[in-house]
Amino acid sequence: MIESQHFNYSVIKNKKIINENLCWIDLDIENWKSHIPGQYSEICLTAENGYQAIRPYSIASVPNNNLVSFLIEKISNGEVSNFLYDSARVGDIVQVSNPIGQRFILQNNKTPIFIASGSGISPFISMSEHLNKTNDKYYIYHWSKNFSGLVNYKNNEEKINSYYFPYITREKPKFWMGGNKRINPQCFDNLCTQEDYEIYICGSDSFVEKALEVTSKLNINFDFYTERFGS
Amino acid sequence: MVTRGFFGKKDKNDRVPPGQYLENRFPVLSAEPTPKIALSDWKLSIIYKNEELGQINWDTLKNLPSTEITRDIHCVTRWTKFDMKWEGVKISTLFNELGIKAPTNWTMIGSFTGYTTNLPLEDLLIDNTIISYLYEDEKITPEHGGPIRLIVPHLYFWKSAKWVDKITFIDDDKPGFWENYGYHMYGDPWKEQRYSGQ
Repeated sequence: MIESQHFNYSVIKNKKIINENLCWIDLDIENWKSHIPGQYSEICLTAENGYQAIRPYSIASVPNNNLVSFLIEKISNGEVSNFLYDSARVGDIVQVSNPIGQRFILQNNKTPIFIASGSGISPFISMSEHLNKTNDKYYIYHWSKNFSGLVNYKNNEEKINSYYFPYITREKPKFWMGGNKRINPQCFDNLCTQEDYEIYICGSDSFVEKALEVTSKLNINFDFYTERFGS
Repeated sequence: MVTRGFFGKKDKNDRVPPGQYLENRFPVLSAEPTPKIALSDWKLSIIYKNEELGQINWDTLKNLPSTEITRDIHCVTRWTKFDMKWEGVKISTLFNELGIKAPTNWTMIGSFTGYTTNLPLEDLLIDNTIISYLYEDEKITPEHGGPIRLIVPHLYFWKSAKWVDKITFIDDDKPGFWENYGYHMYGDPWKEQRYSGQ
């Protein structure tokens, strides 16, 4: 059994199905102190026979919120993700670890550029919402297969000091006027060569590798931080 | 407390350390971009106090007696994969070839990318720790640390440095890349030594 001081009991307070792969859950977590934007927690499910399944998820909510949020993506043969998507209900209890991770967190030194594919947007929702409180500038580039996967599209439409570049690669709705290409150097033409950046990339291994390849060829100064889903 | 409606997909398996799950795939996880290194460019340096005690390249390494190990691998991100077969050269064989007598009991393993991880000398010298160039009888692919990586199967996989190019003796144990970010200094999966303080 896992150490009790590391994991806390939590109640699912809200659950929203976003599309056929994604859902959003809000948890009320016992003894939760707060987190740094970009950190992740592990969610633990326990079966009656004592079997436990534990998986890491980036925290999508801002620090000091009453509820802690996670974006869950259903995956092939997924155990925890698929249970949370298919079976978990409001009122259910799951265990959640204290926040983890000291590298993939907001450094607050240079202008952040967030680059995500799919549910890799999750830590950037937390980071960008946090930056919105101080009106700090940032850039978000988000690649999704479909419009519904652009989970924070509405939130980013009205921001003054941030730049949001959504891309849809497969199921483009008729009204779609945004990007539709896969990641390539032209996507970043708007960046200023005189500015220093922190590039954060989150997504599948192949996406992260491609994003690193593309950004390394840009004529900009940057530090980079990556978070990959194993694939 | 039991999670309502959760039955689990698998029965408990004693080969899976606590908190791990069995994975059939071989996930790729790295902090840095994957370098493409030609075998002809690869070399490994053994260093102490900024002095190179020895160096080996691919032509020499491939002619040393090789060892095949088949071990379960455990990643701190919680996957465990059974029976992963690696072939390479024991570090003890390498040190004998280079005539290296260890000056300290601690080492820092370094990679072509700048990645580092600390290892006690005794863990480096045991028979199952190898400098590996084959996985399942094939060349190790770049994303999995090829052409040559360290394999330390009894510790969490972040200790098995990809793209290894340095073994530096250090006087006292000190943290490497992930250890500096809060990962455990040793990393025994059977003791769940994931993070410092555990």
